[in-house]
Parts: sequence; C-alpha cells; structure tokens
Amino acid sequence: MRWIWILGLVCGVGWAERISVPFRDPSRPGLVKASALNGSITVQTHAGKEVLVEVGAAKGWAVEEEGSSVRISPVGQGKNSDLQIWVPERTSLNLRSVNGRGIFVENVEGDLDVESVNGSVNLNNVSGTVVAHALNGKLTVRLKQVSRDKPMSFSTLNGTVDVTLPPDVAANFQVRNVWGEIRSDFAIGTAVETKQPRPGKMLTGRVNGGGPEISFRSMNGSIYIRKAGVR
Amino acid sequence: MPCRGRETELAEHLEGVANPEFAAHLAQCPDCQALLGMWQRMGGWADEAPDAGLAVRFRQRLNNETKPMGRGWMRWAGVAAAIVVSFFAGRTTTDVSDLRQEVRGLREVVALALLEQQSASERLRGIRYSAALEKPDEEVIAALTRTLRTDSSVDVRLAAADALRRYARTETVKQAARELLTENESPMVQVAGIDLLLAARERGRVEQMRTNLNLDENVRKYLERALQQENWE
Repeated sequence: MRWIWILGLVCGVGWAERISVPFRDPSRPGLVKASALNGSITVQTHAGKEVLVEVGAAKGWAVEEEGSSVRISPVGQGKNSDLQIWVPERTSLNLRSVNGRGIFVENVEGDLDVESVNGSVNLNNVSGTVVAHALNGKLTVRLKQVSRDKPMSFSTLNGTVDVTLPPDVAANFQVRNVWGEIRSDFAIGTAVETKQPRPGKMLTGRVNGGGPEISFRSMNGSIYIRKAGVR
Repeated sequence: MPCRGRETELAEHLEGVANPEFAAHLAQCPDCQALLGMWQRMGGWADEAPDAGLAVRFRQRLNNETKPMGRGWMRWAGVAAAIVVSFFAGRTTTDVSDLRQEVRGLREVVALALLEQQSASERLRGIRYSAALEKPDEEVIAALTRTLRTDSSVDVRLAAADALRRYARTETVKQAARELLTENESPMVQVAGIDLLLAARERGRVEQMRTNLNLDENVRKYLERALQQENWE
C-alpha cells in the first residue's frame, strides 16, 4: 500500500502548506528521503511519531509514504520553495539538494546521508552515523554521539570541512586534503605522509585505540577536526 | 510431453488416490511410467546425517577464518555461515576442505550484501570488508566497480575508488575509470578516476584529458600536478 500527496498543485501559490504523514510502523526508526533542486531543506525533531512536511510558497512537491519510509521530491522542473520537515528523534535521513542555501539538520539520531552541490551542509547536535558531502559549500557537523563500529565519511571540493566529534570517539581516521590545510584536536596516532604517488596530504591514524574508519576529504577547503568541549 | 496436465493425477496416484481412468493411462504410457519411477526412487533416498565431529571442525575453521577481522559483527556472519553450512551438510557430502571454500564464498556473499544496503554507512563497511578479502573474486570487484560508477553517495564512490586501487589493472576497473573521465561527473569522482588510471599505469589516457576543453578547472589542476609528480618519482 502506498500513499502519495501532491502539494501546491491543488491549493495554489502563496500559502505555506503543512501535511502530516504517519509512519506505517512507528515502532521501528523510519527513513525520510528528500531532494530539492532549488530550495533549502531543514530537518528538526518533534515529539510526535509522524513526519510533518511544510513547504513555503508551494510550487509542486510529491510526498510518498511506503512502509517505514517517506519520500519527498519536487514535481517537474519548476522552481521549488524551501522545505521544512519535522521528524521523530530516531529517524534516518537521505537528503539531496542542488541549488539554494543548502541543508540544515538538528538533533536527529540515525543514519544520516546528506549531500549538497552548491549549498552548505550543517548537521548540528546529531547522533548515529554521518556520510556527508558538500561540493561547493561548507560542511559543518557536530556529532553528539556516534554509533559504535560504523564507518563515516565527510567530504567537500571547495568548502571547509568542520567536524566536531565526542572526545572518546574510537576510530581509524583517514584524512586527505589536496591543496587545503588539516587541523585536528585529536592526536591522529602516527601522522603518516604516505608514499603513494598521489598529490596532496594524507594522514592516517588510530584515535582512542582505533575502530571503524572515518574519512575526511577535501580538495581546496580546510579540514578541521574538533574535539567536543575543547575551546 | 503428451501427458501435460496429468501431473496432478500422477501425484494423487503416488498418494494412493484410486483413479481407474489414470491407472489405465499409466499402464500404456512410458512417459508417465518413467516419471512415476523417478518420483519413487527419489522418495527412497535417505537423508544423510553429518558426522559428530563436523560442528567442532567447522567452528575451528571459522575461528581461523575470521580472526584477522576481529569485529563483533563477524559473529553474525559466523551464525549465518553455520546456518547455511548445516543446511547443506544435511544434503550433500560436505568435506572439511570444501567447508573452507564454502566459508570463503560466504565472506564474499556478506561483502556483496553489504554493498547493497540502504544505509551509506553500511555500504562503506561493505567496501572496507571487500577490500580486506584476501582474493576477492570477479563478482566482488565488479560490485565495487558498480559502486564506484553509480552509488548515490559521493563519499561511498570515493571509498570504492580507494579500495579498487589494488585492482586498478583489472580491465573492469580500468574501463570504469576511463568512463568517469569522459562522463559528466562530479570533479571529486573524476579526480578519483585519475588516481585509478595512474595506478594502472595508463598515463597516456590521463594525458589525453588535457585536450578536453570542458574539463573542470579543479580536475585540470590536479591532473597537471599528478602527472608532474609521476615524472619526478
């Protein structure tokens, strides 16, 4: 069984619209997939068990619900407005944006897979795992807690990578930056300048005894790896 | 087959349902008789029981196989392996030397399954795991190459490129790397393609890219640096 809501086609333009989409199985953490061509995406948490979707001056959004996932995507090629989503605290996210200010997520716990082409990505006070990429914008991630034994990855082409991790994170860091600088509050074990014939700087090392791999990559941006509570 | 549609009657006959019309047909139809004979022979097969030492030997093998990874979730793979192997043990003559092969195959199954997960973090884990396989078969390399070309996450694609460096000279990988450079791709992924081609000693291919006027300036800058560095090496 599958439900589809179309926003902004029926009700016209100029009014903010909000709909509520329940997860079919609220006992399991759900997945919200959202993509936007020309608008920002904001995801916050609320106490309810459903997903609330609000669009500004709506110009056509489709919201589909299937089992434990909700998919929000623009209809047609037209201009989209900004997208605001409220989810239960434990929700996994798959977010993609092309133009616009970018993606902002706060307080969500789950597997977060987030990418923006021209906007920035800001994940504040999140938990679980993060795989995030900003091609031209800045990537800022503050992780409150990380899932044990799960790999993560952060990358940009031109923007700064600024990631704050819990002080006790146990992981194998892999940091590669071609033209930009690398700064870390964590002592990244033996800072190895690898011999492989690839341009740029490459550091690998175990932090707090080692664990799953956490990758940090950039070409032109700086990479800052911060320890929560320092400074 | 002339007796199409008679399978149900044949099954009923085997169950002992009296059907004089079908009995008459059976008496003069060699096809149905042959089929009946086959079913009866199969019914007579005895289930083969695994010998008592199998479980112990299997566990030892599994411990040896999984030691290098030392990860908690390998236990899960172990359980899956135990279930599958005990399933087969009841059916075929499983020799311990085959068991090793079986376990190796299972690790590849686990790798392939992880690469198909919905969560990007799980797919990263699948790449890590595939890269750690001693001698991944073509299917695993093909799956990693597919991830490099089509995964929905740039980070996952870059991780796949890193894992494939060891197999850069494989034709599948070279082909994929060349395509990354000709297609309209993210500059980050194109740079990974350059790395792979240089690792495969396909310098000529990389030099050819210089003539591409649509090349992203970041990619061009990286390309010049990489070629220069190669010369110097």
